[in-house]
Amino acid sequence: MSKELARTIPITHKYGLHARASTVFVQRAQDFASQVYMSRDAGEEVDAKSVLQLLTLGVQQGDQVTLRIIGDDAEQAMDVLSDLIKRDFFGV
Amino acid sequence: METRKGIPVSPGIAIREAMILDTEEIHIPQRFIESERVEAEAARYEEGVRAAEQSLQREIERMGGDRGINAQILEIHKTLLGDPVLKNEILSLIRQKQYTAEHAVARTMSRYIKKFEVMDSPIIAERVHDLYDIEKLLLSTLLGSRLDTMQELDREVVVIAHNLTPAQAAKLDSKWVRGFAMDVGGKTSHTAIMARALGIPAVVALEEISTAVIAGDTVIIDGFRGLVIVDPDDATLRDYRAREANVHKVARRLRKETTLPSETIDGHRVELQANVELPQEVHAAMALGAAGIGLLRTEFIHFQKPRGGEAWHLQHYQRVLKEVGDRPVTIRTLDLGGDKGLERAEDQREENPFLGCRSIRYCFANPELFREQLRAILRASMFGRVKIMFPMVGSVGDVERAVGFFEQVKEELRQNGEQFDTEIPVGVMVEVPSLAITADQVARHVQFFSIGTNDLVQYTLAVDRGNEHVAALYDPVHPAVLRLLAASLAAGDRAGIEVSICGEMASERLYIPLLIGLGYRRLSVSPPMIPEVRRIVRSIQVYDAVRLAAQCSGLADGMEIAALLRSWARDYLPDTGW
Repeated sequence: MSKELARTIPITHKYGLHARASTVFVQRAQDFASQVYMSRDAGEEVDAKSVLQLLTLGVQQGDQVTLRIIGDDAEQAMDVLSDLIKRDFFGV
Repeated sequence: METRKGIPVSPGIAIREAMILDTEEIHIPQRFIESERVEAEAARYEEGVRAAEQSLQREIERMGGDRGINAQILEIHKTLLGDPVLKNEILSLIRQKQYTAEHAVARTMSRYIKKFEVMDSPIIAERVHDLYDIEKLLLSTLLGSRLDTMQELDREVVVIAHNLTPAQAAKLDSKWVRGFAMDVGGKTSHTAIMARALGIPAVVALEEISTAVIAGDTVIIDGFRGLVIVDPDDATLRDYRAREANVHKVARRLRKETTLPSETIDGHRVELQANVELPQEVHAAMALGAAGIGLLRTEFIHFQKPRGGEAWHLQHYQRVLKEVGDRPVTIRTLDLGGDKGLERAEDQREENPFLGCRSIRYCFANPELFREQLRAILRASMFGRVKIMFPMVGSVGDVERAVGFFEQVKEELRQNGEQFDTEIPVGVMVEVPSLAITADQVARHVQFFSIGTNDLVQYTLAVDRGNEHVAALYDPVHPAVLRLLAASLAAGDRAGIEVSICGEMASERLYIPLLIGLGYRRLSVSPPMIPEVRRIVRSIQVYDAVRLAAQCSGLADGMEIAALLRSWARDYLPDTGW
């Protein structure tokens, strides 16, 4: 059943959502069928399965990002992806 | 037919086929496709992405189990190449606007590159290099054997681009280029310098010329009026063909005079040297009979990417010295800042860059940068007649400090057993009023002065001539400026050192008689101005010029001085056709 979830998470990684972190994030996001969107500090929303788009958000340490996920596996995707952010992308 | 207006930065008329330079070093031969080829083009793009991804994968595999930073970067590149949003944007440009795959890639990437460049997170803004890398990889994969670079031109063209980077300018095979039209730029941009050096027309600040023209279009570049006419009609073409022929006639006449001595009617020699930056300009200057290089600018070496360093400096100097032979070359140390953009972080921006940490001050603040250039200059001195010149010095203290650096680097080289010319003449630009006023004291510490009139005028009058609100106050013949010019020369003469002028004033028809009248016998001008300046010199009697200068010195108003010079020019100077 299709669901829509949203969650706001602070970015704690020293370099913010930098290139390697974005790459790791996108690779995980692409594992899910749901659409994944991200916005920074309630600004414009971008496709979070695109590294290029994520980078254009210019997310830095201390920013709040909002994940919005729509689809059948939205719950699972939200768990995995928000965990990834909280754990600083596993230190990349 | 479509006419666009920009800023003329180099005079002349050119009528040629357009060659479009899209990205650094890669020339996209075709930019649009027929509507029925759209799907085939989309498939070609997808195939190109796959091939590029495979080549990255092979590189990653070659690194074996290495998960170091290089492998990680390649991994990022691969992810960017296959980015779904990027792919969709490129595909829709191909399908909806009938762009070729290459054109669609270049357009889309440049949009992202611009976005990245203004990011406030420096860590992400840095990633712009990755975008350049994957753009280059994609384009070269797509173009394959059709990869067409500037060096491979085989016919005369006019070059149309968004902007010409110093690297592109250095690689241009100038013998095929007959004109330039650029989206951006100003009078001091590389396009302008290069075009004036080559003696071909250029128009800049045309905003969107690079998208308005299609490769192969016939284009007229009118470097007198700042017009670019795309796909002209027959009447316009006829009119411009006639004008082009006339311009060439005048140029030929002036060129015939390059072997004539640069001396006044009454036999006083006036040495003409050239102000140059790029190697191509050196060739042009020598062909026009320059007695040497009076000012070799070195800033572009600093802006080479990846950043130059000592080896680049040395390589450039050797190239110039080889071209110049046994004539002297005056190398000016880095004159960064002011109008020659220094990239600075937000918190280091200066309120007033022209009065800030620019030029020699910047070198003092970045001693490694300064030393690497000084080392290169010393090493180059084995290959020709090198002189070294420090810009923007404002006091004897500055001179001593700069010379101190120079002596220290000499000592280093000596200890390493390296050879250099131990007698290299050291000089300074006289461009800060404080230096001109104390010229008599400074003259004891140097072997020559070169008057940089552009900055000297702006600092003396406190006028930024780039600022349209006050530009009218920029007056090179303001009595204060004339006094500084006279005093600097007198101080130099008394100390027995050479004094020359390397600012734009030295190539202005109106001012040359005045400068000669004041006693100047060495002028350094941009290469294409040499024939005209020579012609003016050859039509002057020093006797008359001295009287003119005396009259000017007696006037208190720059406007009156200018009026006097204009009437003198009407009576005594030939019409050089410019």
